[in-house]
Amino acid sequence: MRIILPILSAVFLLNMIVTADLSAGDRLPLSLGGYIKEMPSLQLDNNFENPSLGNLVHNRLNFRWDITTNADLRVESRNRLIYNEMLGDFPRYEDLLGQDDGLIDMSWVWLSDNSLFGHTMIDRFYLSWRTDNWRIRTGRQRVNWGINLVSNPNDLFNVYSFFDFDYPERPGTDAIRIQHYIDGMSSLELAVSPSDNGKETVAATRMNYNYMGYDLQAIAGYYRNRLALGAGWAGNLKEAGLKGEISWFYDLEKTEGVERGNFVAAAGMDYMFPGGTFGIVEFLYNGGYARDPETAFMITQPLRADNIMFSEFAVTVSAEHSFSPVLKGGLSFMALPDIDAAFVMPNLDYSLARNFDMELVGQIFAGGERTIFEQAGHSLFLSVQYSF
Amino acid sequence: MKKFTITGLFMFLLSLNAVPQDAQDIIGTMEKNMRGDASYQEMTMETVRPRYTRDISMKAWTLGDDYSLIYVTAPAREEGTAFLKRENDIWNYQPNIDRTVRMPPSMMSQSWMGSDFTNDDLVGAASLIDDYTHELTGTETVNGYECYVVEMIPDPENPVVYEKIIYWVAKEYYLPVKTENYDEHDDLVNSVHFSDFREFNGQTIPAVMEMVPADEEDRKTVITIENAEFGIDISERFFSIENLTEIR
Repeated sequence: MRIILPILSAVFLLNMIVTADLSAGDRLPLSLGGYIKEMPSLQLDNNFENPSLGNLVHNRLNFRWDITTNADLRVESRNRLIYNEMLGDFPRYEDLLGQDDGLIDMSWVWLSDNSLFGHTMIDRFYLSWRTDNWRIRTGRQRVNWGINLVSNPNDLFNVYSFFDFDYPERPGTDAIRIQHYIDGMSSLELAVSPSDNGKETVAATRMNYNYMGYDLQAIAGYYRNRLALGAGWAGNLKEAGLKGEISWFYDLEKTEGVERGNFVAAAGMDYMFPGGTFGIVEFLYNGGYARDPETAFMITQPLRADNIMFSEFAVTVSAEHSFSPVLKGGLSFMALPDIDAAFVMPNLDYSLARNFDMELVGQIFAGGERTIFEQAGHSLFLSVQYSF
Repeated sequence: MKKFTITGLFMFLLSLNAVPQDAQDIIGTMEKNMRGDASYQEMTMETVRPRYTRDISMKAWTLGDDYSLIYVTAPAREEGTAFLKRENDIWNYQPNIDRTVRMPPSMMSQSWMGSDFTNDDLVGAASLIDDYTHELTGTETVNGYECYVVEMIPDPENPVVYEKIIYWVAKEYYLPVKTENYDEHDDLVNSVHFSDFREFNGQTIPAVMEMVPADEEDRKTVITIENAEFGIDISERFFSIENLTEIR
């Protein structure tokens, strides 16, 4: 919080200087939105034993400044006060929390006291400039190339974790992104996300094209010392949506005993059933797992585009139903057959009043011995959120 | 059958001793009056239930039947969410993750953000002119307005929500006063009541639209138009993925 205020006031001052020659209409050039959320939780181990309690106070601030009609600055931060009895047992937690993979460190652990942590992260900080056919964005942003609703092999720049339901905004990446719109439906794009360690840089181009009612994309680039080629599509099969993404990665330097190339591919269908149930089924082949099994510390950590899951195969089935204008329920199930693991996430979303929402989420991780799924255990979260 | 209908219609119109009116023309003129070729509207949609109400405010741009863009301005949680429709394809933009999602066609026939309106009702996947067969079945007085009654049956190849739509079109304005939507069993699904005929920037439209599900009088969705402009200068190019992500 101490970090946010100076930034906000600096931006506000800057705005006062520029407001004189603004022509953005009657909309205020500055806007601040976000939410504050209180979320107690209950964690159980793999055998539904050893309960521990947690609590999270979570604030998000989304700040936007329209500098001129075609340039704006966005700064968004995630401020959390995290408490969990178990956290005292994980000495690495503070490092993991404070870690920032970007060029500039914008992640701060401002409180660390055994089981209580205070954390602020600026996950968007970018300047956007656009003309009729061009858009250039510089800074921490989401370069969202994913098409599928669960797994995104084409999302080279900012992979997210499907299991981290409490991060709907998903992480950003430090990048320069240049988009050129050829017409309303097709575009060319170049994005570069440099890294301190040059080999970890990601730089790629994307072409978007609408052909015979299908949204198509082709991707080519450099991905962390590997060559990356990919394609994705979204279209309709009768009344259902049909989406897919495939990427191929190839080591630019050969390592003895390691397969140089691997595919990651995911495809699925989505359909709105009569009666208002939205269903998704999606299949994932993660060729990166066989090459190099991922060893993450926490299941909610985002992995890598060339190895996006904790297994080689995954099938996800998900359904969401609106019971009334204020009550929605959902159930997601993911099976990871090659590591004998499964994940179930039921949720209920209830609108208490305008701008007040309550959510109940359960997470059940079941997994074979020594898998990250076994360690993840089971959790129940209850949250009340006020949005502004 | 078709010949019979046309003949019957012709006879009927002659008996009215009025200028012969083609049912399709009535609907065409009405649709044009409702949104012009190109329009911009600011509106609030209120979903009313016995124990609560919820509202959503939005801006909407349309061009003919085929193109529309909706930007949600309130409540805070949904602000910035946008929907684009180009012919029969729909995309949804989620601002918090800066992501555009292609929506399946089956989404069109389902409730829009928990209201009694479907996506189809709002962004109109089906063209009222091209996708239906029209028949003028009579005249009736509704809420003090003398109306043409036009029955519309969708062409079999078109994936539309309702199997029959009846429009009551006010002769005075060529604007709808009432609509009834029927399912495949010819049962009434819902009716829409139009009222508060008001002039916005030179064009009269009903500023209030109430959708009432059949047999559920205590539940309804009310759309109130707060501002509207017609004949605005936008082209097909405006209805792009690019604008879906940039519009405010």
